[in-house]
Amino acid sequence: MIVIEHLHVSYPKANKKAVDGLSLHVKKGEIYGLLGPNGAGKTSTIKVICGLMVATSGEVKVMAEAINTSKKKALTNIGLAPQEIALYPSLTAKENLRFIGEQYGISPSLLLERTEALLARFELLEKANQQVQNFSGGMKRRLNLIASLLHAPSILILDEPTTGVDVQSRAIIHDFLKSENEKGLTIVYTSHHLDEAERLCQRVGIVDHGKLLVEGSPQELLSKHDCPDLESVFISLTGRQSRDH
Amino acid sequence: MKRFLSAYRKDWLLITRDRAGLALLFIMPLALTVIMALIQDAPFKSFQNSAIEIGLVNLDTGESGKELVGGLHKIESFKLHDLEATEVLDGNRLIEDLGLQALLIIPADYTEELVASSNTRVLKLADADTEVIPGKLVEVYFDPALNLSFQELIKAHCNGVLSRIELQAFLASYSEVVPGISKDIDLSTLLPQGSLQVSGSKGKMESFAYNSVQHNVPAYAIFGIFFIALALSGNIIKERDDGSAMRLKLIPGSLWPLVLGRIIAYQSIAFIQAALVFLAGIVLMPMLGLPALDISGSIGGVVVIILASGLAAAGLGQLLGALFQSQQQAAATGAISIIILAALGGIWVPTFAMPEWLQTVSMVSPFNWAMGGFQDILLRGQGVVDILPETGLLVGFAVLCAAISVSRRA
Repeated sequence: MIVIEHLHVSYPKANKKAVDGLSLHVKKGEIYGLLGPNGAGKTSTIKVICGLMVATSGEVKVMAEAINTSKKKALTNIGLAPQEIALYPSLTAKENLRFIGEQYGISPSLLLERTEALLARFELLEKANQQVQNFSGGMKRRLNLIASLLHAPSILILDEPTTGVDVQSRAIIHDFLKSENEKGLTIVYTSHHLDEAERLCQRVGIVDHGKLLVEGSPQELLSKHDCPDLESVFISLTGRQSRDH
Repeated sequence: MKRFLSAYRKDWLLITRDRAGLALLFIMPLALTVIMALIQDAPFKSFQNSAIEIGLVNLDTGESGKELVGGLHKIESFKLHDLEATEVLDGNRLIEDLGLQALLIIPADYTEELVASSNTRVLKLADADTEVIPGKLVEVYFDPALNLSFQELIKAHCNGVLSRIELQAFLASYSEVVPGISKDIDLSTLLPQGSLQVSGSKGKMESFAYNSVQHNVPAYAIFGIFFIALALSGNIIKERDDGSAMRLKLIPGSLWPLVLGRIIAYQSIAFIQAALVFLAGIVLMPMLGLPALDISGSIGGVVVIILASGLAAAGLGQLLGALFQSQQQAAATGAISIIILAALGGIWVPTFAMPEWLQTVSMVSPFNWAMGGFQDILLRGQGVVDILPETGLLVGFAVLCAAISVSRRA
């Protein structure tokens, strides 16, 4: 579904590469965890996959379409739930979703049907006519996720989807992801919650300094590195030094 | 079209739900219009209608002095105050003490000296070697704060009256030398009337003056319209900061429907805002003792200029939002540039009152184009066709700004 070959990304004025020769393949119907400390190159990689940034070199294909030549086609297959709550606070949940759906060109009847179904699925139907600024952090995260699903993408990319959410909201999100993945949705997932990645992802790739350090199923990585959990593997590969600069 | 309408609805909702921002957008231009119209009412009146306060001291006891006083009293733009002669006559002191704008002093023996001077002038006609005795001069003092054009006006009027009196005296002397010439001839039949004739104008300047309401209502309507650029740029930057802009970039298709939807939404607000300012000019100003705004010339023209100004302001907002990284940067730079463009565009001081080089610079200000359009309609009585150049400049400015912002966002 997503093929990344020898990807290099450099920012102007930066003295090191954000992504340095990264290659990875995300298979159809899997949940792939892209893990790494802050500044490892995860967000830059996601931005290139979504066509929000042009790679310095290398190739990225989404469903066999090169993102830099067939961006429009590739984008119709991608849904991105960004780390930020990319919604308008003074609009209601329904107004936000209506605007986004209309921009995707979804017909009014289909948009209404999808909006109601997704709001119900994420337990937000009762709050549909409330302004987003009055939502809790967890509710905003759920709505942020719904907004990226309206156009029924084949690939869902989640950038820290459970940051700042309560246990209940996290459970709702997890249940949804598992269920949609069973129906065939391909998911690329980045998170600092490694226990979450361990439970959800069929395969994970740990990146640091723009390079892919290891890749495999959580079980494979645990046995290969002889660690009790994914967090221990992560620490052993990326070190204990904080990256919060 | 659906994407455009959807973007328009979204931005309309965002603007109308920001109550504080909306209140500022509507109250600020209304308050400025009323306050500035009230403040500038007196200066506009003094420039247009008020008589000039002039003191007059006549130290002469003869006929010419009396005729001079009578002639000066007939000048409508003078408000003459006849003052008693004092022992020590200090013109500057009198002006300061009495709050006068000018003081005229007819010297003692003015008539006597004028007659003597006229006689020698008549004699000089027959004998070129005759020495002409100069007459006594009428003194004039000006308030140092009185502007030059008023000083010139006073001098011109006084010289007109003085010329008549001197001619009258000359004719009297001449009649005594040449038999058959009457010294009581009516000078109005003798003097040439001049070749200048005021024949009115195509516009409305004859029917009413350029008063403070007629200037300040369109001026602050434009000022308010351009302030929407700050609100618009702020929303663009907020959209970029909170990730909404990134989500929009993920949607396949052109950015133009989104940009146009936003521009038209803000333009709609600008239109309502300007309509309220104009309404205040018509209804509120007379309640405050000011003249009512007259837009009877071409309401269609007023609407066209408001719409074009709204477009230009929204285009400027798009540009500010695309150029700056933070709301603080955009707000500070935007506010300063709007104030500078407004000053250059003749919002506070009409451009005709500026130095010539500044008038040339002011031609690059969209405020000047908008103000020019309003003046064409409100003062010169022109129609929609006549304001097409100004409208074209404003729309062109909006398109240029929007194109730059789209290319930067893309």
